[in-house]
Amino acid sequence: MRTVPGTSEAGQTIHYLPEPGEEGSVATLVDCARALLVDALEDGRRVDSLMVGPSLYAAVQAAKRRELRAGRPLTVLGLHLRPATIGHRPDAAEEHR
Amino acid sequence: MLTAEENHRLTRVGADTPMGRVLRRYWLPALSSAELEAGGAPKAVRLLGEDLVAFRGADGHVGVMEAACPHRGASLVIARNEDCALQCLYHGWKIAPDGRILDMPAEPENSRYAERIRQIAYRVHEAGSLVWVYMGPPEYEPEFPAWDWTDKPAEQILVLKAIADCNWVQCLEGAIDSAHQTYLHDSRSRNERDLAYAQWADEKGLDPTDGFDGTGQIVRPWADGRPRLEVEDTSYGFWYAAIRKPLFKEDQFKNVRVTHFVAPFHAAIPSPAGWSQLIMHVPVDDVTTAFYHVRCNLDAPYDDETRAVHTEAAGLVPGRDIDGEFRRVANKSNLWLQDREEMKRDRFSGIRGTVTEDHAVQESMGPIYDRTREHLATSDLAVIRMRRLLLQSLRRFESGEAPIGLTAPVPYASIRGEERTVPVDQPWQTVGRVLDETAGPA
Repeated sequence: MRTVPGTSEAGQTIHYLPEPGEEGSVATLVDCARALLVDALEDGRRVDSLMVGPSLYAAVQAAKRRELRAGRPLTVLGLHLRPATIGHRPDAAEEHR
Repeated sequence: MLTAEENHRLTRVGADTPMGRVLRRYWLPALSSAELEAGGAPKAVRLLGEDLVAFRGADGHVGVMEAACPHRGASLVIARNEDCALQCLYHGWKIAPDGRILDMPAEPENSRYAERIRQIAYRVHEAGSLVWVYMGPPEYEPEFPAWDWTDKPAEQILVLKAIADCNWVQCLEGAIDSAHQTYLHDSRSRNERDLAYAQWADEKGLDPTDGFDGTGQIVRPWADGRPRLEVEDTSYGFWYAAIRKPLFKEDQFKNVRVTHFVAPFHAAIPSPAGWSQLIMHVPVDDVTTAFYHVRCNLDAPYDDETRAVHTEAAGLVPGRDIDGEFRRVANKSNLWLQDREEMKRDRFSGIRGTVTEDHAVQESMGPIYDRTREHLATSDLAVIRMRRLLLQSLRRFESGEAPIGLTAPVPYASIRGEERTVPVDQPWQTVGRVLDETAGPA
């Protein structure tokens, strides 16, 4: 996994890049995101969103269908989930900090 | 959270499921040795969704086999235990512990039919006051898990057992979740006792406590409800620490509680010196779990008082809290006998006994919890890691590799949880270390 901190207006974004073979695993996503979130909190950084590839985004979206229907935001570990756009590169986000 | 598919793969244990096939690669506790009397009544055992029968022949040897007679399916639980074999009541077929059909008395005398049939019977190993079985392919039978208590005599071991009416994964999650200690198992009287003990130890100039009193019960020299959690993977699972501020001298000390997760369902929770304890959550089927808490005095027989203290603390007193089939009197139908007055007076939960407290919250989640609906938090570190490792193990197993913990020898006898209060600058990895470095924590 590689991660690069990016920014949004309210706080930082964690970018999740799965290792080969882990692309579809939400269990692995949550484990990695948790470690990054704790690191950020310990560093006093504010993180409020998590960016993932399209397939993982779709997997979480499907799992959280009930919440979405109820008008709730799509979150993992309290972080707003955002889909990476095609061609998105985390290092590009880094440049925009 | 998990996707519905991940949740399904993680929780289902039938013979035709991926996790069911993985679990059949390990030695599993089937029942406690004390449940079988030599030459006595057979006992029904349900394991991984299979209905089995266990019996002890007059010679002391134990057999575990499919419960349905291979003839026409009558239950062997009601069979006669004769000549170190089970004899079906229906037509007298006699079956040896290894599954051979010894006699078909209703068949012609010169019939050789019995040689062509064999009952499904599993490999059995009796150790540590438990009867263990291996239900997988013979060619993959692993080394027996020789914990530091499995070679000890029965008088040094206490096996606490109870049936939980929910899936095994949600039970296992409770065993590797240190953060709930300060809530579910909290009580005013316990806090007062722990504080008094910590102050006494401080006045005496003793170690700020190793986390246990004279009977081996945990004394918590902390009331920190926000533990910092750290985890390291091992070849067989992981070990993790819950690090808390102690009740006093928090600038000098920290409390470290180390638990080892050993795949697929073992949690080595902290033990005082000279003791060992292990929790196992064995899937009975998809919606039922056998909870085993083994406590062993490694040096001497259990005395009656300590045995009573430990049984009482768990809330598993036979006849009072559990019946002969290890079913709890306090259960979902009576809201686990929760006492609202007790909640005001002392116990946070209002439920008697730590095991009943655990089972109450686990059973309240439903038969198989839908993990698409949860909202995990940072304190769920070990739960999150366990799911990831087991799901990774499933994927590797399906691609032809051995499941986690079966790729290299596991130093079972050296794995022991520990809780200590140590100087703040001391690494947590100095607590609860596995002694055998060859396969222990990296």
